[in-house]
Amino acid sequence: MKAFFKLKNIWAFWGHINLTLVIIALMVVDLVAGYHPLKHYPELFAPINDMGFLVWCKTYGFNYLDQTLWLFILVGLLALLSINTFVCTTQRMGRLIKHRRSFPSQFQFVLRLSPHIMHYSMLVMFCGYLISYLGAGTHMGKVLLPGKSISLSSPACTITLKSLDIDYYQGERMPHMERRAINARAFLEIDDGERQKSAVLGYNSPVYFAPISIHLKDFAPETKGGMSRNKYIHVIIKNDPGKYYYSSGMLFFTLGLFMYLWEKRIKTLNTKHTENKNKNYRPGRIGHGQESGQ
Amino acid sequence: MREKMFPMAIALLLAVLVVVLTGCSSDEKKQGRTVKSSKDMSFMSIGGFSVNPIAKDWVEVRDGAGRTFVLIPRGEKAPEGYEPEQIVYTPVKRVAAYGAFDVAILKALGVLEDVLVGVTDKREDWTIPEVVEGMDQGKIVFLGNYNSIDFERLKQCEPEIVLTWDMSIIPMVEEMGAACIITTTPVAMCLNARMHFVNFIAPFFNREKEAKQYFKRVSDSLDAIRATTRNAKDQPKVMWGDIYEKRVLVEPGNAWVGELVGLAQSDYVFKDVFGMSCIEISLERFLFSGEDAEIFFTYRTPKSGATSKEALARANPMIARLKPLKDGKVYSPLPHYPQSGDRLDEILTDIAAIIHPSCYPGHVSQFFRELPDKDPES
Repeated sequence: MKAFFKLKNIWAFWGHINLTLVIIALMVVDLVAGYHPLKHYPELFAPINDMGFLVWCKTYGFNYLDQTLWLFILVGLLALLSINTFVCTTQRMGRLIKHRRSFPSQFQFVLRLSPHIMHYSMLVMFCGYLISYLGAGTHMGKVLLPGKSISLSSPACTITLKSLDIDYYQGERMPHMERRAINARAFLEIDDGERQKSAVLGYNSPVYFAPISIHLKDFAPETKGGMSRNKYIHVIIKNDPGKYYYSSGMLFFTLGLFMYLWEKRIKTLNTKHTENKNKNYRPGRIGHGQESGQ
Repeated sequence: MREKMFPMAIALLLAVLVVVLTGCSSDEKKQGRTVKSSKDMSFMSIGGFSVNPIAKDWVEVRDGAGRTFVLIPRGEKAPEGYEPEQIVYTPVKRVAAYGAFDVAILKALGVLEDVLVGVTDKREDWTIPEVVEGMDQGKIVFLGNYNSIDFERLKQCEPEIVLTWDMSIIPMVEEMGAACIITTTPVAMCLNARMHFVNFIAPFFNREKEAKQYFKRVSDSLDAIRATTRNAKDQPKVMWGDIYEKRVLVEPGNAWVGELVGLAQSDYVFKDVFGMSCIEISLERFLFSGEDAEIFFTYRTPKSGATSKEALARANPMIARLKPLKDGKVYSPLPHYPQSGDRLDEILTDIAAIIHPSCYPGHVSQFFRELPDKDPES
């Protein structure tokens, strides 16, 4: 029995709002401390994206602890925040489910779950990013020339750059932008022997070909004239198992957000309705009627 | 009350800890940047490059494009988990190089004469005697202009590695079975990365000892500059760049030049500009900063028109508005300057002496020429 109460206390401690506030305050301090190293030593942090967190820890992370300690602390704080969020949300969900009959309708009960759906979604997103940083495989520095192909061994496929369209600034308002590239569209063809896909790759517009995603990192030439450069694109190819988790997390978070807004809307309408009802209810008239009836 | 104070106390304690551990770095520490002591042969980050000894005589390096290569002694079996194009056998015996600085580093390591087989500058453009001699003897080949090299000629050279900044040649170089090492990064090399770049190249040739000696020489020169200019009375404003036909290019504040100017107790006018070397900025900004600069280093050499202040102004009338052209000093690099990376210590001292002539009485510049007001009449 004692052990049960002890566990209950621990459960209550991890779900307490004060703990959330302490963690968030510490995160703010930690991020402020991280501003300096992040600004002055960007070369230490950029490789996390392609080499994965564990390899990064063994190399950049542990060898430059003066500059990277804040990130380790941040990861620890995020883990604490995740536990806190999970326990807190689960506690509240439990209470809501227990009192579900007190809601006017089943629908309103479901809507009331919206903040918790958002919290769980956030945790799924965190998990996705964790999986991504721990388990993603990245091919760096792959260069494609127009009309040429590259082959990947894992997963086995061929990527061909059919053509590359570069848009250069045409306006007159910004002279320093003259002849500079503002957009690039790379027409790719991907083939793994069984499937074929044609797609257009651009900045913020990666191409997905399960299980890989192809991201545009750079292209040339970025200016017309001047130092002449050959046409090429520099791509990063990722095999990221975490993307399914953080994508679904984002989806459910958005769903939760809409449900939350819907619930607020219903509340507002109900409040207005009650106010109107109160306005229409005039006890004086009844009194007057009573008086006249006398 | 005590219960409420407890988490606050923990928070405060951790906050102080975080700030002490990560936030407070002195200027000296900043100069140390991200590179550890060269005595320490553990992992080393050099700007965008890195060197990571992974096992006995095996070194994993990361080039300027973030690509990983593993360097293993000749005759050993290639490790698993790497693609064939990632394996480089050491010591490398045949190298083709694009950049003059890369060639100069080969010289600093004492391997230039033995390994260099191809370059992208013509014989008449070279000032390094070993390269000129090698080209005369046919040991070193001109591969063609940097933007259109002759791949047949490159193939005939049979390079094991190609040191380049041009990523577009990666597929062709890999096709011929060589490793293509990108020796530039998307952001300009800081002073420390410039000094330590030799440590990135050295493992390809097993010349770590020579790299240490080179680094020590440059490091000592920096210490000397710091000590000599510490009490300099004036802090002249310095600018480095030029106006071309339709572009204005400067060295950003994060580049080694900008850092050196700051280290030599002076003020670099583009210290707030961040990015790649030779970064493009607006004409307005260039002219505005040039209004109160005292020393102007132009990219142009005498060959490209920098023979006098008047000649510069004639080539681009806008530049005549800069203060250094009116009543300051303008310096132009001598032809051998870009090929003298092996004498980085002397270059740094030269720049410090130009900025603070009073601290270096009698110093004669070896790498720059002060432009006269007018060309001598012939």
